[in-house]
Amino acid sequence: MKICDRLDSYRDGELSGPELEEFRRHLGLCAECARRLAVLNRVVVALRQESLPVTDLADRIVRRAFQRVPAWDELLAAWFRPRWAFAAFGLTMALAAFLWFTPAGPANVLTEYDALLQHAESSNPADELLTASENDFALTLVQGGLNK
Amino acid sequence: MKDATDATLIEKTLEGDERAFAELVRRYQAAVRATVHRLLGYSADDDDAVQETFLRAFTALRKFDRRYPFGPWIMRIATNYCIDQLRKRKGVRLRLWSELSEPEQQRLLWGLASDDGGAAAGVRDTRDYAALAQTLLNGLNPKYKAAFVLREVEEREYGEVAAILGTTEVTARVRVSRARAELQKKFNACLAGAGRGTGQ
Repeated sequence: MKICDRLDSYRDGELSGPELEEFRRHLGLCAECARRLAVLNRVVVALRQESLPVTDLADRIVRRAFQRVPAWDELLAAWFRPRWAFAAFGLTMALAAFLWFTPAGPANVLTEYDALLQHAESSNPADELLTASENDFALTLVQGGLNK
Repeated sequence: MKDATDATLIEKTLEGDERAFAELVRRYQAAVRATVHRLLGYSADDDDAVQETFLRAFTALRKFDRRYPFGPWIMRIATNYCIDQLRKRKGVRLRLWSELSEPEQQRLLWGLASDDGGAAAGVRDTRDYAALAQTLLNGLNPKYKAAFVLREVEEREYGEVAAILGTTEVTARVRVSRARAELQKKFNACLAGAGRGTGQ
């Protein structure tokens, strides 16, 4: 470690005994280290000596604190806290949407199946050919051939 | 109220006692003002910074652990606020230094580095260096600047600096060391600029 690198330790008062003496001798010989310390000292003294206005803001701060209306982003964040409540709400909405937009429940599925079955048993395959799409038309023809 | 401990004042504030919070503000506003002034480097922002610091503390008061001292906590809020402001204002130059004439700037720069405290350069009062000091500080990385102000200017121990900055003592030491090095580099750059007659 170069002796110049000990400037921080010297500045922080962490050198002692022979190390301290050695660095003090170094300061007498190294213009760069001497200048760095001089600049640091004077900057620090200047900042410490700067006089600051004595303003009592307590009353103003207290008034604002106790009358504070939450900002919109704070309200939004509070609405979605805790996260689990938001997650439960979202899940509930998703389930409701699913039940609303999908076909009706199990009981009605069976009723629809019975209706389809009835229709299949009673309908004339020939009638289907007149109304089906091209794909259905081909399928019906194949099924008709198998049934024969 | 003046004899109450910080913990008692915090408890009363949470119960809605405005006088308790006012007393808490009065205890710490001078220290907060000094720190924000040194960090922000421009007096016009001081009142806003002090108010915003205490308002943020008020909002977060319920989460504050009263087993720990209030001082470092409020200083951390102030420091973090200033670091955020410095990041937003990056690149905005202070007018104080540039308002000085070039010969005045040169005189102060040479005075700062001289052995006699600037006497030979005609610097009579070290307070003349305030504008220069702020200019040098304003060029620093905000986190290094905060560490430098807390350690060098306010003479806090590294442990306290680390607590305020919310980091380890080792990191606090590194930041102070880098701040010192950057300050010197900026000073050399100012000196070189003044020598060329450009000033800064």
